[in-house]
Amino acid sequence: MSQPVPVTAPLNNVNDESVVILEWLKPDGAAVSAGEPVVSFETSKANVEIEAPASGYLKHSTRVGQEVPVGAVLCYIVENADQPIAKAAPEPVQQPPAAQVNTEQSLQRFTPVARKLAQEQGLEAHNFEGTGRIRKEDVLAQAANGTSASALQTEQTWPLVRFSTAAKTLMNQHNLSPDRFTGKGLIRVQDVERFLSPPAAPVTVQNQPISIEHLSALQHSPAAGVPVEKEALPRRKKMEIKNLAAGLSASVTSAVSVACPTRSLKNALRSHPELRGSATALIVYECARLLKQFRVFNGCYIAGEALYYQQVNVGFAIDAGFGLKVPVIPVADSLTIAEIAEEMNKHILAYMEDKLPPESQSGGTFTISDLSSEGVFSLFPLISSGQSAILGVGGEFFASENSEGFFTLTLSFDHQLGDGRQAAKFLNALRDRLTAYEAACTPPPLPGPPNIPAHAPAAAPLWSTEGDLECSRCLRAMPDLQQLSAYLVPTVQSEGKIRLLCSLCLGGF
Amino acid sequence: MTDIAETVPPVSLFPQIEKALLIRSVEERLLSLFAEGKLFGTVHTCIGQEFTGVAIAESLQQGDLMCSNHRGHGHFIAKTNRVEELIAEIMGRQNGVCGGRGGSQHICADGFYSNGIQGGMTAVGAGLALSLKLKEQPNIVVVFIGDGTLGEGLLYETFNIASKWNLPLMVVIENNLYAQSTSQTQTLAGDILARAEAFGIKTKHADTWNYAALIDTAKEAVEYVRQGNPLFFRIDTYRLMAHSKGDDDRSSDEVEGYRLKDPLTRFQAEYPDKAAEMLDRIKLRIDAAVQEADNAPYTAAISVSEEEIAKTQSVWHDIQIAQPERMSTLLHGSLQRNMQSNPNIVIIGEDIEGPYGGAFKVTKNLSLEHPGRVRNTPISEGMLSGAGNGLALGGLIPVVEIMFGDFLTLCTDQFINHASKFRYMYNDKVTLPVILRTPMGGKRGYGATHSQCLEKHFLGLPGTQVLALNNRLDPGIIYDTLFASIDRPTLVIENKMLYAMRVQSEAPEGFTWQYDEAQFPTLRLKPYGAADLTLLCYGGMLPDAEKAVDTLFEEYDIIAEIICPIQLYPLNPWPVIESVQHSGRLIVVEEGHNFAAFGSEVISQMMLHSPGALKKLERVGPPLHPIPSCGPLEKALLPGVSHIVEAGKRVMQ
Repeated sequence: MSQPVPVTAPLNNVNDESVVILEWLKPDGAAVSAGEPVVSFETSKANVEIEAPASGYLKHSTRVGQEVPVGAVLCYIVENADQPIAKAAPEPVQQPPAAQVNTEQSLQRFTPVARKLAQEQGLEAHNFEGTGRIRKEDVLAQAANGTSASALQTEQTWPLVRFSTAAKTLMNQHNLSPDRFTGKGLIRVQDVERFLSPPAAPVTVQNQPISIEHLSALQHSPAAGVPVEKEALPRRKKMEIKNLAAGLSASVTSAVSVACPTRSLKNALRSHPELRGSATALIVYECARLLKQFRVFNGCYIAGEALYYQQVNVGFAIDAGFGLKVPVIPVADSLTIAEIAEEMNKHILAYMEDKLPPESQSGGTFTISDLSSEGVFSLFPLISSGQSAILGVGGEFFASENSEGFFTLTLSFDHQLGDGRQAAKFLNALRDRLTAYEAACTPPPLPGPPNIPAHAPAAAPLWSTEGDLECSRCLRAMPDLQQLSAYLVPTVQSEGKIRLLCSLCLGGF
Repeated sequence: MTDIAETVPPVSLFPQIEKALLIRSVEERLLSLFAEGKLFGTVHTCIGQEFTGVAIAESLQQGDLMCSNHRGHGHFIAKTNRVEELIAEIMGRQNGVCGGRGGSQHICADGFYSNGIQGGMTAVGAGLALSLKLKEQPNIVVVFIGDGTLGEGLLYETFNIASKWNLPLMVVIENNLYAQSTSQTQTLAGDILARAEAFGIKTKHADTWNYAALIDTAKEAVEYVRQGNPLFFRIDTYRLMAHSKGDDDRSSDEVEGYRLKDPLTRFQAEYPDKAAEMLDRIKLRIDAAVQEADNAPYTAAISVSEEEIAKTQSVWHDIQIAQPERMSTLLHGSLQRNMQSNPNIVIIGEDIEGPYGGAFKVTKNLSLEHPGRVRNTPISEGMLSGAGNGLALGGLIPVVEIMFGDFLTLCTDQFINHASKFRYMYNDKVTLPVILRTPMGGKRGYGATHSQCLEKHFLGLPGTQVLALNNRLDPGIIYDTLFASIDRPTLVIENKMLYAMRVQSEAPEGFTWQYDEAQFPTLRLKPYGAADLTLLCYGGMLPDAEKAVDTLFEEYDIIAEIICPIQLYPLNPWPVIESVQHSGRLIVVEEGHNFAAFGSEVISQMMLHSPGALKKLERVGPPLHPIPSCGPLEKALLPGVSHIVEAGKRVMQ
């Protein structure tokens, strides 16, 4: 009889230590074919379905709602329906380890034999992935992997620095001075890349997940004497906290706002049908170009050093019922307005199907949070981890006795890199750029037929029965929307109802 | 058949007769012990030939040396009278003369050395004789051979050098007409004595049947040799028993004829009472010896820890060489200062005397500074290595230069069957501080037989050590250490391409040369950063490996760390294991054919000692193809910088 084939939780996101089982797509004991989805689970950034790696009978070894470490076995595929599984189900995840664990604490994770071995090899608990018990085999494997203490001394200083030819080329491309690497020894391409984008470098974060407990310097004390009801936060909320808390604790945050006439945006939408009615796309477009001049807002402060990203990857926050997600538009500074709008459109559609891949949400160097469709006046957005600024876009307001509408642009920035004056200059420049579209006011060309992607919401029964096809926010009807190259998408509201929103409202304005 | 002297033996020869009877009785007892299952292997008896050893020993003095062969019991008893220890030795007991390690053919005591390899001890005897001559001792060396040994070429290499150097060496041939079962008539051409005469060596001729005359002739012979002359002494005799056991096809009529004229047979017939009295004494002695041996424990295995280097964490130091010098200059400097400080050092080899000073000029002018201690030899590598062994047995520290490493094949018998065995077989009574220096390696267009790296054939011999010099650690220091510590046969691999290079510690930018704390250190080219791969090499491959490391970083963004041992055997696998535990990748670079070679052993030990550490492996060596003389093809086939760089790229894929 062949061995049971284990099905494990894959690592989809470097920040994940564990996943939560959402649903069994096949019941325990069911016959499954290779490639058939058997289980879905939740990661911090997406829901993932796992396919059977082989044909046979499915044996659950975890239950719905259980949190299991990445790499742990979720279920087995066995050859015979009555084949027993010798392996015990993985233990539920314990408290996540703190980022900084002292040796004494970390040693508690080892079995006695493993502890002795680990001490010989100079290994500590943080050298091991996962949160489970560390056994002798793990230590031997890790020692063989060469991640013992001496190998981890990456911060060693050397008497000189030497660059490989490829590293030199890369440095020249980024106008990096060799002085950046003084005392760093042999420098290869990977070392330069790590210097260019330290937060994304897996070696620095992979084994040391950021802990919420650690980053929240002060813990809340609940109000005395008031009864409480405890409720665990969903994973994506936890990840959101993790990211924002990291950004907040690593930054010295300040914010500056300007007001901007709405008319210019409206003109731009009219004169640029490729925007498909999305003013956010225009703001992304203009910001990306400006950020090249304002690198202090497209960087990251780490340990006394300013790291300026050599790419402008603009993330835009989106929250329409499936949690707050920030898809990223890479190299936005080199894209046309149409390309940016197209990219955003793609992300929004993926979001609405809850299929935003985790990789589309990483690598951001700047973020825009547009709450203009939520009727806010202004907002104070929180800087994401690994970034130095975020732009908040407020909704339209009218000054008294003025028919001219305005909206606010607020830049939260890390004072460790930038300052208020630079922020003001940045915002004014951005406003000027946006206002320039006013001058280019020309009658709108007749829009072509709506360019609704094939995979756009076609699940008509969900909403066609609820009445007229119109946006539940701006109440524009379908024909009007078609004139604006906009379309309707279903969104799940907090009360659990499905509402239709037009792509204009979804993207702001 | 030699006529028998009709004279009755004088009473004055009774002691010699009793000695011969003792030898015969011991060997007869050995045959019965063999039948009882108390001996191991076999015994080669000299029954019928006893008077050869007795006659020679009669004239020897304190300090005279004797070398013998597989049929040496009689010689040993005649020289030493150590009957009890001989019996125990052959019975494999700890109270044997060599602790039971050597057995019948490998015995050493009181200036007696035997080994069962035909002719091997003739060159060793020449070396011993040279050691006596250099120390100006008034002693001589006697080497016993059989007529079968006349087929061995080493004998004639020895005749040549003994005559040329006027060595106090007597080669005694026991001419018993048979080599095992083969009659001399089938295998021997020409005249026996004429062989030595052709080399200008004086000869003598006697036989065991006229033992009184034999004893007189032996006396003359020994006196002549003691004057500082070689001599070849033919003693006709006859072996009454089989060569060993049951391998006797001689006619019984022939054997019976010799038995009748055998001196001891005749003595027992003519003096029955005297013979009985002698045999009673002898029997008592042998019985007691057998009983004592029977009660003694068998010999035990020695610790092999010397051959296995225990795990220690390597401690590294930076190499700092103030003044770069040529490799050959440093080698010469070390030989020069050690010869000055240590009068026991002797250098022998081809073309080594000044002003020529060796094919690679390492010994230039040393012969002028130390006349007699640096000697040109004929082209006789077998004799050279044998004489080296004899010099070492004689208490000197011989340095034997073999002009090309390829010629080591001619030294294999002396290195493998003599040098590496004496210390063990002789129960640690001797050490063999003999150094064989030789250059290996190609890339000079010398072709298939002058370009090889053959050291793999000499690795793994217990009791020996093999070193490979390189251009990053002063080879003079290695020799200084070697001269100060040598206690075993040592093969030092130099490399033709390295001689002209300058020894300096300068490393590629971003790397440092380091050495560990071993007596013969392992070198490490330490990168300023974590290594992606480990590159293991030694000796002549080091310069290419170093260039490859530079190119791998500069052009391919790959960081390599070199581990370069100097001591190839006994092997210390730990520095390279430690490195691979961090890098996970290994490239083994060898200039010689790497089938069943040094690298194979390192990889094997790595798998044993640190399973899982090695994730990816590449081996760089020449194809299994003879080395062509044609330069471009040789360059393409032998490993070089580009081969190593390519391996580096592959191992990173």
